[in-house]
Amino acid sequence: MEEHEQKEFNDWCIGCGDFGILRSEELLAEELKLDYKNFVVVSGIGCSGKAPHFLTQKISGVHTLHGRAMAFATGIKLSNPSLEVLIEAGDGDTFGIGVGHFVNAGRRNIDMTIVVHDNGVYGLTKGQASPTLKRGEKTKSLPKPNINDSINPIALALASGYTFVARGFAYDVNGTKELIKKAIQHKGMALVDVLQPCPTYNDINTNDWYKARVYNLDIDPVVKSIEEVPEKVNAAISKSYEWEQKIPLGIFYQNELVPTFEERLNEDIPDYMSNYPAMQPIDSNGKTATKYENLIRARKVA
Amino acid sequence: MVVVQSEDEIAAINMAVGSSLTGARSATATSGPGFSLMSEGISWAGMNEAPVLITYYMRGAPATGLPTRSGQADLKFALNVGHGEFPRIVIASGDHEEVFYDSIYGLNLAERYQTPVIHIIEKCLANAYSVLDMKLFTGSDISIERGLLVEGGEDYRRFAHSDNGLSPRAFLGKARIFYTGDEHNETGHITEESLNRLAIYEKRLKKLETADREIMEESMVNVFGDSENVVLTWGSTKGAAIDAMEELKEKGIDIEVVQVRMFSPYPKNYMKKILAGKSRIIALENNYYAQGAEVLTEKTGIMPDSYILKWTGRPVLLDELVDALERVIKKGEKKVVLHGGA
Ligand SMILES: Cc1ncc(C[n+]2csc(CCOP(=O)(O)OP(=O)(O)O)c2C)c(N)n1
Ligand code: SF4
Ligand SMILES: [Mg+2]
Repeated sequence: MEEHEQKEFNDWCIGCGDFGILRSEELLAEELKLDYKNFVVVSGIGCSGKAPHFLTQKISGVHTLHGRAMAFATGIKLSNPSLEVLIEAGDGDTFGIGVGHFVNAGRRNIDMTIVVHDNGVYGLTKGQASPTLKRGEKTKSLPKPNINDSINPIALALASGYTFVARGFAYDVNGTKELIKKAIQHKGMALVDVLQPCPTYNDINTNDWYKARVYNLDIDPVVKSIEEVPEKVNAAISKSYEWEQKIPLGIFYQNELVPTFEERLNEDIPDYMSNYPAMQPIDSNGKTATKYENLIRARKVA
Repeated sequence: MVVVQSEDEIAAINMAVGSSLTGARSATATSGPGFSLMSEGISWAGMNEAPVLITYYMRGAPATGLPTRSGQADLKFALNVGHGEFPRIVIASGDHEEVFYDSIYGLNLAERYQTPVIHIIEKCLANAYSVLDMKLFTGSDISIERGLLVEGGEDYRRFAHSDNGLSPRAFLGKARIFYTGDEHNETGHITEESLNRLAIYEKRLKKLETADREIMEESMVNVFGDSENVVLTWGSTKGAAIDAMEELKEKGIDIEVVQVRMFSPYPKNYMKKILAGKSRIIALENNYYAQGAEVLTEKTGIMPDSYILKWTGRPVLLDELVDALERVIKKGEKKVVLHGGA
């Protein structure tokens, strides 16, 4: 009991952008009245993965495996769709080892939000290049400049079918809070890629470097009819390639016209939302609640 | 019930484990290549005391091996899957009736002991038909055990210490819960503190000792017939062995068939009792090393005298088994390798 009240020891480095993201989430949890009864934070492995343990609100947290937070979150959400599920993952987590889950989540459009702590490095393992580090850049731990090209998280999410795609900046606590809040309120799979300075290992994309470049997007991201999809996606992708001189922040794309996975399940299982798997009784007085006889009889061949 | 077609087996196991944290009963099924991919997720489930059932349909391995054929070469893999020490419960079915009941029993064990359960079946059972009496599947007498459950609330401790290692389970949405694959305290927060590590590590492993104590050893083994010649086997070879028992009787040879149904925990005392004083123990398996018999030796010190083995991916056939048993019992041959079937 005291263990809950004891503040978890936060071992992030001084000045880490993760603090900004954490603060945004604490503020929005307050605003949206999120607690363990309606909210679960599911994280991967990395500095970012520890976030649920550090949140001061009375929430529940599931700190999973490197790259697999999306899969765990999918199991949690589909078994209990009444829970708000927030995924907290690193850029290595999401676009390296776990990229297959990231892409396939777009196909499902489950009503969840993934917040990526995008710092260009594998922070926890001492600064190797992450999939978002640009080619030619040599951050502190690299013996030579990075020879891999970088993934464009915004474009990848759009191509994968994400229906809410946004970018925030970790030190812009209020802006990031608003973006994550809108992502949570969005009906469907949402990405908020948060540019997160890692003062310990990324000595290129620093707070000052970002501050000199970020600006608020000036496009209308909302899809109002299915015909608008190609035009809106193209505009968003085009903006997502701005980087060296100017870096846009805000919502790139939002489309609530695509049915969620939950809605698709509901077509097949009409009481899915009102009698979801986590609610269903499994036994009655110690015996199976499922009438196996009936299932087997239904399969009887003449 | 919700069924999800996952993008890969890594997603499958981790979705299933995530689902189990909400209180739903969760299961996934795969064959060797997918089971290899699941191993990290199974380790997480062990660390976080999450119930999950994995049905393991064994094929001819290694790699894709004989992908459309059967095998029993992954028993030791199933027993040791996932890095680290945590309780793994492993059961093995020998025919379709057993497969049906074991799938429910496996979920009961997973929830009661809050740990992954691996249910081994083989390709040749999974992809075969058999004619069974519908009366075998009455359903209404099937027990469901969910283990210790509580509502939880705000001050809940998911990994609270107890004498038998089991902590009452609450679900996401009902209690304030933390899970982590890192070593954790009773609340589920990360800690590397030594004394906590000692205690919580032992708590997890104690659950397998509890299972070992609570599950009747007699229920972990099937014994057919009574003879000084014991055919020691597991899985799908059950059928051929029982049929061979009848054929050999007509030829004046008696055998006893011992089919192991649970490998972890292992029925070591009962096996010692059954095998005491037998003049011949013949290991019959669809693999090269007789892995089931190796587990017997590891747990009891008892070694088989002779071996009938097959690793061609085809099931053991009655005629070849009768012939092999005659060679072993009458001529004293130590090892017969089978290769029957098209
Ligand atoms: C399967 C697996 N491979 C490797 C690791 C080691 N590892 C831990 S964190 C990490 C990278 C973390 O980078 P990122 O996801 O960007 O998170 P950050 O620390 O930057 O927040 C790696 C490779 C692991 N835990 N699991
Ligand atoms: S290594 Fe980088 S990302 Fe990790 S805590 Fe330190 S500053 Fe933050
Ligand atoms: Mg990173």
